Amino acid sequence: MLLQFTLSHFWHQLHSLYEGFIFYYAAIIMSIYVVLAIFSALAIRQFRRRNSFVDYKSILNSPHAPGISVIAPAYNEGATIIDNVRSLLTLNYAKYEVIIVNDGSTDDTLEKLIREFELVPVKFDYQERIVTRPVKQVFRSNNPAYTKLIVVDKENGKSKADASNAGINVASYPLFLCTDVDCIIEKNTLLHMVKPFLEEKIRVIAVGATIRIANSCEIDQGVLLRVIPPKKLLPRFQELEYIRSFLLGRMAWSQMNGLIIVSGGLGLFDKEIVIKAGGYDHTSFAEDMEMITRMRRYMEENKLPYRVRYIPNSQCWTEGPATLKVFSKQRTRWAKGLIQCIHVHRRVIGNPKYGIMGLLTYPYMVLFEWLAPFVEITGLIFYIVSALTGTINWTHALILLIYVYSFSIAITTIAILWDQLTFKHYDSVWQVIGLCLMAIVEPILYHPLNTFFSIRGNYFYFTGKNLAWGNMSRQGFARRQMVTTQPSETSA
Amino acid sequence: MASLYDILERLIPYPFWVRYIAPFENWMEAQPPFIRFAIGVIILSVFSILFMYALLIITRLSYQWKSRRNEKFRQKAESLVIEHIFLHPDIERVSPEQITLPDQQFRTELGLNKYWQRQVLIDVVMYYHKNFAGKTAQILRRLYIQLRLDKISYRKLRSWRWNKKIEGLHELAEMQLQVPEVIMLELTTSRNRVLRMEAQAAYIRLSKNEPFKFFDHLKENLLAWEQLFLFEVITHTPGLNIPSFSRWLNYSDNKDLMLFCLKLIVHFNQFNSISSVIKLLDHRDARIREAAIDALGQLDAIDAEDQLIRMYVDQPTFCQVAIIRALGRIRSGRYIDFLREEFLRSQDYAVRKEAARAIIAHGDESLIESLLLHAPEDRKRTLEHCLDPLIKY
Amino acid sequence: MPKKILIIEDEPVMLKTIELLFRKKGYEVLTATNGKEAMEQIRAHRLDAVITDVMMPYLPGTEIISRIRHELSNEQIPVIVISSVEIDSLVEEVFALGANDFIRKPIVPTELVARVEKLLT
Repeated sequence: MLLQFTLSHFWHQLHSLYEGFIFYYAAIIMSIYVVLAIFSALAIRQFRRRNSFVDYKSILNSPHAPGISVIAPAYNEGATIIDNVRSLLTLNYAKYEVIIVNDGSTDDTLEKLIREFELVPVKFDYQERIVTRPVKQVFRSNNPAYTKLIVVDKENGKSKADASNAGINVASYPLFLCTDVDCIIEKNTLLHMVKPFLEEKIRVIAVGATIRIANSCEIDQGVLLRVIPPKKLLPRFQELEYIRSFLLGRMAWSQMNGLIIVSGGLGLFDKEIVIKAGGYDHTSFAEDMEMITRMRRYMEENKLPYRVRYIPNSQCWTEGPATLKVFSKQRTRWAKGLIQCIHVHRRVIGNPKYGIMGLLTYPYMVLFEWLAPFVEITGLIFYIVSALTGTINWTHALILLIYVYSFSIAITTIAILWDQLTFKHYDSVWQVIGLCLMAIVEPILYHPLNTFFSIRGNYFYFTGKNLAWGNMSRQGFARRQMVTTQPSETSA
Repeated sequence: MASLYDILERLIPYPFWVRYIAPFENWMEAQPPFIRFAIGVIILSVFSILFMYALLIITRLSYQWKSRRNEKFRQKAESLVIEHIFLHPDIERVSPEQITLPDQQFRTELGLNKYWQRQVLIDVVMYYHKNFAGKTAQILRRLYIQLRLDKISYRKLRSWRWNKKIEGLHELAEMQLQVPEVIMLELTTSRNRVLRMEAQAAYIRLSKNEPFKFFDHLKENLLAWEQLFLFEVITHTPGLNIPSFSRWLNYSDNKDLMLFCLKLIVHFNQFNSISSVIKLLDHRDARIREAAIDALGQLDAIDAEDQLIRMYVDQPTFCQVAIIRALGRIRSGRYIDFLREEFLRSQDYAVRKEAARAIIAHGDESLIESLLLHAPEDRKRTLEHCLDPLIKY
Repeated sequence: MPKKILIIEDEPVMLKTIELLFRKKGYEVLTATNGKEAMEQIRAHRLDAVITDVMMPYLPGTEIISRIRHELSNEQIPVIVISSVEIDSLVEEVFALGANDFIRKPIVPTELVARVEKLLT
């Protein structure tokens, strides 16, 4: 009797304690989001006011603009490689080169490149400033129209990191743009992204920009014709997520100088610092975040002032996973990457030596990015147990649920609003509203998936279960290309 | 939380309030504080979501309407410009001052009563003025004044908002109109970077007597972006009085300005500045030394060679690379042995590569051949890399 | 018979203005706003001259010149490049590919017409 009483008393105590914990945890996340939204609004406003009358042509025309090496690794991209390389060759910038790294493809990627661009092997004196898998051959074109193109053929290193590193070793310019061969890059990207490097007193080591989902956009031979929000459900949720995380998250972190993610799909880097920091880590599952962390550590440890900047322009359209299977692979890998990065750089967490990154970004990553799925799951279990034992306060539970739910919709709507007030990519207002409405079902349909894959990633990481990097199988833009009556120009 | 309740009471229509919400007052008060807080957040979120939806729809629709309206007007204005200026029947025979301006057609066809109409027309005229030179540009300028569009630009210049000021400056500088030098000179030292840069550019383009006067009291640094922008303005303003930039090498202690002047000296081939540039080889800042060495190379300063060789040993690597690059440009041939030795000796890849290129630039076939035969394997690879015509760098 | 020229330029206002300039002079003018359209026009018509920008979608101007010179039988056709880029290496590249003239923006309309006419006689 007494035991039963203490037990139920204990349960009751735990219950109110936990309810309080959930409430405060959520309240802290929410206030962080509000702060991020305010910071990003300020940052975007400042960016807009400063750049509204900038004539980017001054950079384009100037002989003093820094040269840029565009590095794009390719693994079995035979279906689309030609169009994508061509679109990289038509970027608006005067001094740049395009380095395609064929990462030991098993299909005809290399043969197609050689044939189309009249490539011949050259006696390239390859300097291995970052150690990579062996480079077999470097190609250049015989045709003077392709003087910008360099193709590197290397042995497969089973990671994008290794291929990118080989590209960095070959690069001849002080800045390099890291991208994927299947990313559709807006033609003024280099002009927009190089500007932060030119306009800071303090050395800028990396610049990121917004990436969007290309799944339903009209694309013809690697040229983006019309921006349309994704029609299928899964990519549509991803578009929403991208807008939110890029425009609210990264813009705000950049404003606080605490940004640690410049995504692998599109980032402009200072080559010297990247090489000094050791290049991309090919064992990492999140090589982009890991490298920025390492670059920042290098700068902090050598007491060099620096910035990692972010521009709100949408510059790159990439294909998001359209099937649950590919999506689960991607997200599981991301989750693994996050925990791995936190683990490897655990010394940074809370360490004032590492500035904002140590005091704010990493603690935030641990508490709210890494732990959030666990809190959610335990919360769910807790509610189920209390429901079963009949100790649940249904009204309170419901109110807390709506509290989190309504707030999440509000934050997503803010992100879309920021995007729409500054850049108007979609044609009609109804497309925008349609996207907004997705925010209502997102927490019910999409979020649980993400939580599940995060937990799965953690499980794999801690059990040491190996999950290969996974060459994301592409749908291929070729299949969705506009149907033209005439045979296409470039493949003719 | 009671205050929230009070606020809501005032916001919500009374009958509705009494019927649906007031009954909950007691219930609300019985709840623990965090639940009441949560309810507050829910209400706030719902209202802000609705507000943002409204804002989204309104801004998007008004944007669409405005851009469609402007686009129509713009096209009309463009065809008028083409028809009455570019295809003017007299343009090839008569000087631009004597051509009768088509201002009446512009007024009747476009209206030009509203501010936005004039602004769009300014944009159109600016676009054409920027992309086309010669007589047409001069007629465009006359038209801009005749239609009193300059009034708008001057008004912007007087605005208290810095971005309006910039717009005004930009328009006046593009159309080459008079702005009192005092106003511009004051703005060239503004604390706002963007405004300062635009003012400097405008000053260079518009100042009658001394377009580079503001260099004298330039305290702030010139960012790479600002240098790039001013460089374009300086090299693209027709009829600009170019001074000898060595003046600021000697008298200024602004490092960015020195670097900028070195670029200008090279661009305008100011050979009589060489002695001033040579003086910079002793500068404390290695970046300045590097830029000076590069400038000497580009100016073919054969007199500087001896000093470059003398200073070589004590320099950081990037200055050594610059020295070798300069020797490769000057190509006097006097130091080819030095280049060969550095090529074979140096442990630094950048030095070796630059030396290889300098040797190749000298065009001494027999030396290259002997190096290809006898140099160690890795040096040979570097040399072959630089010799391959398909490899650019 | 009027001479037929092709103008390739991705800025519509520029394109329209240059097009009308040459129309007025009695030329038959074809236009293209990107490399793909340009190649279609070049393949389909017998042209007397091509005026092209350098940077544009699908194919850059450099490649269009290279294709005219190497792929098509008509190697004599004059190619005039218009660009605002200041960088010497680009100018060299353009001439190395076989362009006949390089005109820098801002354009002087009378000069543009005169230089094209000179190449056509």
